[in-house]
Amino acid sequence: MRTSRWKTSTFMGCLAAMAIVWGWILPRLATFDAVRSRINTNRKAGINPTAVFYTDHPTMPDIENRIENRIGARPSAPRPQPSPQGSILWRE
Amino acid sequence: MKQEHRGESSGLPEPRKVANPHDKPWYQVDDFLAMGIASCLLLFALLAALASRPADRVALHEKLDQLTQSIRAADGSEEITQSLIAQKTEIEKKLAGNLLKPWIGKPGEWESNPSEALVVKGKSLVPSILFTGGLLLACFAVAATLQKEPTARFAFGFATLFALSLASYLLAGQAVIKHYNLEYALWAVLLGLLISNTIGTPSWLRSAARTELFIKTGLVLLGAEVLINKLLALGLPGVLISWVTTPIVLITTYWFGQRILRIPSPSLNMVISADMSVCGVSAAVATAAACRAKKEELSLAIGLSLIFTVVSMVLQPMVVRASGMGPVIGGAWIGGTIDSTGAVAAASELVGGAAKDVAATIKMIQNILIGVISFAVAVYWTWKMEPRNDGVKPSGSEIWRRFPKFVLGFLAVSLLMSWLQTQGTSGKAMVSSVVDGATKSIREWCFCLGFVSIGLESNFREYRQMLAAGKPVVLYVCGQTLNLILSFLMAWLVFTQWFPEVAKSLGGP
Repeated sequence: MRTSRWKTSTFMGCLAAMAIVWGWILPRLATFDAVRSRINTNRKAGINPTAVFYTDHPTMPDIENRIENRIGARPSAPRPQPSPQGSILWRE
Repeated sequence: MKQEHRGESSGLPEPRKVANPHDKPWYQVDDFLAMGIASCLLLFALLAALASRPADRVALHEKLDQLTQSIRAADGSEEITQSLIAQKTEIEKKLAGNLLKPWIGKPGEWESNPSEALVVKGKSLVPSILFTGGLLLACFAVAATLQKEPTARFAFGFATLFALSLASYLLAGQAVIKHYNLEYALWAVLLGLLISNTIGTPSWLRSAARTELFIKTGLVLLGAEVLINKLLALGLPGVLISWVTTPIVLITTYWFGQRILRIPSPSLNMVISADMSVCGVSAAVATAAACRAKKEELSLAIGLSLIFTVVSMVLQPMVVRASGMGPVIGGAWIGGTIDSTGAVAAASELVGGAAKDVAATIKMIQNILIGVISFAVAVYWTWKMEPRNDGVKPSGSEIWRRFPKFVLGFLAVSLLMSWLQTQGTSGKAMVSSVVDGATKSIREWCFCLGFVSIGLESNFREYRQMLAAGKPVVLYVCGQTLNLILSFLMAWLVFTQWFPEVAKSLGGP
């Protein structure tokens, strides 16, 4: 059986390791050219790489509008109908 | 998600006991509580959206309609079209304001000092994080009280849980971690595991760790983002790539796991198959709740997905560029195969051209699939996989009793918001206001609380058992290989043989 002292030491050791990794190693890693380049590319393009769902992606509305325009611009595509006005919840 | 113990490697699933939610009154059952909390939060967000309507909304709507017509009419310069689209997006954002937005927040990104994550554009995020915590505490404390949990004890435990979730966000917000897609879900589970496997989870914290309640509330809120009409964003090509290939990969991988690999737990097999073939973390959470997977099974599937996503987001853009696949086929391939939306966006950005738009749109259409998948999995599990009473086929009422009711709440919210989205520009603005202004961030907090709770209730030994013989890893690799092949074949067929004019209009193939 592991003693509670051993468990507490492990816990504190893990916390110390995390402090070193997040406080010292990762900030230095962020200065490497390859990593810096990836970070800058994502920032410039407005990308949130940790987006789980499409709604978490900051530039999704722009993308949807661009795709809608490109798909709608095809000669064979149906012409858009005017959007319904006077919605029950929003417009007066 | 259940916690009962199952045998190790008999090769066949052992029968599971189905928790009987009718053992307690309906208002103490997690499914109903999750639906109630999510409904209240949605209603709150909806009322805030109504109260946030800009004074000049009529003029803005007219301007939006004019811009839409101008974009359609602009057959010439791409530069002018892009400028009009940017103006349209800007007006849509103005119309989608929400009073709650400044009050619902989570930490942002940081590089060398974690306190950078608590300030965005010179404004402190601390008040919004505290408000979010207070709002969630109020909601979940009501649920805990109904479930006969002492409120003060729950509140203390919840505050600690919220602090651990905040720490997970801070760990995930470090720039290197964030840009290599190691999401908060991973750190939340690991933080919880660190506590439970070293100093042990104290009983007051364990009583606040309501994994099912948090996850199910998050899922019902996620329903507001599953907008069925987005299915046709790319027309038939999008449907073929996302809604034909994905179910084939899901079913084949599940079959492979059951019949060839003989994975002892069907629910682990299903969660890995869904998270690999559909859309990573969100699909894993939805299917795990629908098939009542064990908590450790969900976290293992998410861990696998995140690790392979990091590899894919580095390698796949290289393959696209080296093979000369083209931005449209390459984008569709990346969108259909990389698990999470953020990783898809980051990978397709490296391909360039139309790839980022095509990839993100394919992933969005695939995201919508989780509503159908979770419903189908819930029905299949209730009907086929759960034990029969005394060998007798369960009756209709028995099936209804076993069915995870929160799935119905998830679908109802999805259908309601999809209908609202079709109500012209005003409906679309309302949906954006509700989702972007409030429910999206609350949903993320609910999931984060759920993941920390999973860690706090889990044991490393369980993971060792599940990873025995490496079967989950083999399942993921084999499934993903099939996914890569089928998605490429479908994208190639769609954009070069069946709908080349669509590829051309998108800027490809």
